[in-house]
Amino acid sequence: MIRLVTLGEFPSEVLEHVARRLHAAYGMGCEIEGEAELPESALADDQESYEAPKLLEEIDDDTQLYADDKIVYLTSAPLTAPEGPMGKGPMTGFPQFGGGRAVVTSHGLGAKGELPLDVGLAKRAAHHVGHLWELHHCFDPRCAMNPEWSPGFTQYPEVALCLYDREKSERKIKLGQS
Amino acid sequence: MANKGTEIQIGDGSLHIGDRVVYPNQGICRITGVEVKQIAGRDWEVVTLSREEDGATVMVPRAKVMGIGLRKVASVAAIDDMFDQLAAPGDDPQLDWKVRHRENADRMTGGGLQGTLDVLKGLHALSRVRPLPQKERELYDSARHLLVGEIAAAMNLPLHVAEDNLDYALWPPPGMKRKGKPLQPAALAVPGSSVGAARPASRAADDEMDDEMAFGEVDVEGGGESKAAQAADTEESDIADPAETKDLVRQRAMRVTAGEEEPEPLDELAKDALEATHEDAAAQPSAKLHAPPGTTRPQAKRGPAPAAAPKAGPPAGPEPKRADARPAGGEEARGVARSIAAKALEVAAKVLAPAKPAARAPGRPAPSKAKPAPAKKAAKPAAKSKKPAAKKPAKKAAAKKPAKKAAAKKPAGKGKR
Repeated sequence: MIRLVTLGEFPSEVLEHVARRLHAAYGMGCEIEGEAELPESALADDQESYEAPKLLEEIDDDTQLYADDKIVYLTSAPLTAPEGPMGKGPMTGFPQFGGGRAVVTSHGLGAKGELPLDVGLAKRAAHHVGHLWELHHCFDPRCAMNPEWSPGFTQYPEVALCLYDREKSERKIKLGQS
Repeated sequence: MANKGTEIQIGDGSLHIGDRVVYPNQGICRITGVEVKQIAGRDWEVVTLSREEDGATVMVPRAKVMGIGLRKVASVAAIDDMFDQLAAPGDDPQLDWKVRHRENADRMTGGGLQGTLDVLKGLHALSRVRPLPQKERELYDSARHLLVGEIAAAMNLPLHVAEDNLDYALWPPPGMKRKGKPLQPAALAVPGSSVGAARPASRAADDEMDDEMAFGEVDVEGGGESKAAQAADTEESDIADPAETKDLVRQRAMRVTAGEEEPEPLDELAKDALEATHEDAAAQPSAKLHAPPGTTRPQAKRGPAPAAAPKAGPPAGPEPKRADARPAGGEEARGVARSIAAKALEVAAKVLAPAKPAARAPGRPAPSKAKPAPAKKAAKPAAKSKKPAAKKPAKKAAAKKPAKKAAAKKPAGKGKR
């Protein structure tokens, strides 16, 4: 089960759209779990964005995780992550790779050249849920696991996985259930 | 049984208990100890490792630690150097699948950072040209998984950040720089076609041809992946929805046809030959032998074909011979053949004169008693005989056929009835 928890206000139709798309992409149940609050301690130095890894650690949420459960936190606040050898890049979310929780931001969606809020949030959420199932980035521009900043991500707004990623996620889901 | 202690040296002395190491094809492990295990009645000193990803225990005979390629996690400097290589524009991908497969297998078995990087970069470059077959898609994912794990372990980064950084180098987002140098942002590539590929389409088509040549040259060992299997793999690596897959495969096939199988410009001789063929075909509706393979409509209805579409036309090689042979000696040969055939038929008509006209097979044209009629009939074998476009065979055919017919018809027509 994929559980959606909002960290802020989102229109209900957007949440329903995201839930439907996630269900279609991974073939597992998806429900809107409720709301939680952004932890102030996760605020970055600029006091505007949130440090995503810290946010996931310190979030006060009592949603239970079972065998194959994944929790996706949705927020509209900008996120940051530790800087790597290539410097700072676009940040649309942060998953615990192979873990149970991910945070996805809608920051920047709906702007010029970007996807609309519902479509973009669904695709971003599907991408980060894929990382929770240990899927890596995919070179297929139509696949939801294509890097979020690549032109294919906005060019193909439908939430679909390539055959390889779909099979891999199904294997992982089965293992998770067992 | 277990000898534990940080002072124990493993392999060439560079590894110690508690070190994080890279196990080829397995990922990041931590050395947990050295134990003596009794296997098949023998005592084996084994190094036990714990795979960080899932906690699985791996045991390696102490004597074979260096042989299997176990090594320490790369240093930060080595990772930084690796990113320089990733961000640098790569060479063209190796298109000969056998060479590629052998090289990649060696690199992965070796377990070195450079080898894994080469596999990832090579397959990434290839994926920009055409979709990867299933096995190579798995290899690509495996190489990516190992590199991400090593980057994360070496630089103490979360796995997701490590993967994002890896792809900032492979698929640079707009504005990404590496050591002050701006990187070219990633372009949209359509898998399955050379449209949008890094290399020009003509170049890709050339390489495809080279690839096929290589198939023909070395594909004798057996057990290799056939072209059809590769095509099947190619189709598999598409979007999973079957309905969508069908459409995409069809669209891709169309794109490939449009992009890669563009007709090459004909030389003058081939053009002339084609025109001559079509003119001749239009004038002669019964010349079905000249119809190119796969055509269903008779040539006469087509009219002259445009010179820019030679794809469905006959091969340019043999055609000029036919076209050249006809106009010069064709008329002369036809005249001689007609006169010989007419004479032969006259003789045959005399012999067959008593035969009943009702004995003829139904559906055949009604026989005419007048003399010009046999001459008309004689035009048929003459027209057929002209196809070889040589004088001698035409003469022989025309001379032999009526004689045989006459000999065969005599007993059948008269004797039995």
